[in-house]
Amino acid sequence: MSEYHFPVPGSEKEDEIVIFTRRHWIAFLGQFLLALFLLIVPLIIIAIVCILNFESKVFQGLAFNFIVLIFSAYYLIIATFIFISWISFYCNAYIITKAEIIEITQVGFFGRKISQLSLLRVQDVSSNIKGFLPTLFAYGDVLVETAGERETFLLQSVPNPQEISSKIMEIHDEIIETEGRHGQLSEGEGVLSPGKIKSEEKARLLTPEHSDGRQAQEKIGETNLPLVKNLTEEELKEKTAYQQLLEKDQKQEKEDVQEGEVSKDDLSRGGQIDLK
Amino acid sequence: MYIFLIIWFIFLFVYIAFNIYGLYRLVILRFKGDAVGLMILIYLIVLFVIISVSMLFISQLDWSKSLSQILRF
Repeated sequence: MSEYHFPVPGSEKEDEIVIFTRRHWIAFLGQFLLALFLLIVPLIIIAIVCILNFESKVFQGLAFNFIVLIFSAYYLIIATFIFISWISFYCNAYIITKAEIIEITQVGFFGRKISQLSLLRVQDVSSNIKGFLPTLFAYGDVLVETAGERETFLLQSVPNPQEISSKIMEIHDEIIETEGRHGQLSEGEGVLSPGKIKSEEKARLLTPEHSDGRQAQEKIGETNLPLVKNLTEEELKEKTAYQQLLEKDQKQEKEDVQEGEVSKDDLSRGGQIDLK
Repeated sequence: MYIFLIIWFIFLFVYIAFNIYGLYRLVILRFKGDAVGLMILIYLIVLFVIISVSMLFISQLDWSKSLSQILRF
């Protein structure tokens, strides 16, 4: 357990684990049947040899020495193949803590991938039970989507996927409420929260009278704002227009039904966005 | 025929080394209360049985004859 830096069963942070699950055992059925088939293949070959009356030739000459070695190596390899298949199945685990989802993917003896996803970033969770066996044994996939386009988290063949997906959303909502980060969550839905500094303060800082532009930018904390230093006449005109937009923005904010939120469209009108 | 026997022993040596390291890696990544320990035990018993049976057969067979005789039935 020394290699894990997140909550796992038996670790000091074990209390943080909400759900610890593996893939459903039925998901191993295909590999199990394949393993069984590979185990009986040599027996089938022997049976065929006996049926064709070749046993006296094959099992009594020096060829038998060769067959013993081949069968021995074959069964050793098959035993390892089955064991590695089982390890790859069993050691795949999903841990849902109070703050994140952790996926442990084991590939054979030496391959291990660990992915972590903060529950705060979760936007949508869906569960999927598809097919006869998944319906019969109540297992399926849980797809966790984040605000990013490519970032999805797939919990494959987990038992009771509906329960897991609802639990994930429940924890997600709890985090949002406890941390008071509703504004940040809304960002992914097209609603952006206002910056730390109020618009009045921004307007005051960006006035032409406020000569030190760099200082103003630093105070706002956003260096990508339009020019504030080296004020030329043209720049001063732009700044005044910008200031007007900010004033409009202030009025817009007051009119908003949800206080403290500003729509994404306001970006084009010069609204200040706190992306933290 | 000794050449096949030597190749088999080399294979066995590499195989055992691979398994020892693989199982070591697996053991240090275990969780509390998992079934990996039990499965490792079963796996080792299976390997022991396969190797023992192979050794039993190998010890009973005549390996001194030349390779050309292998195809003479």
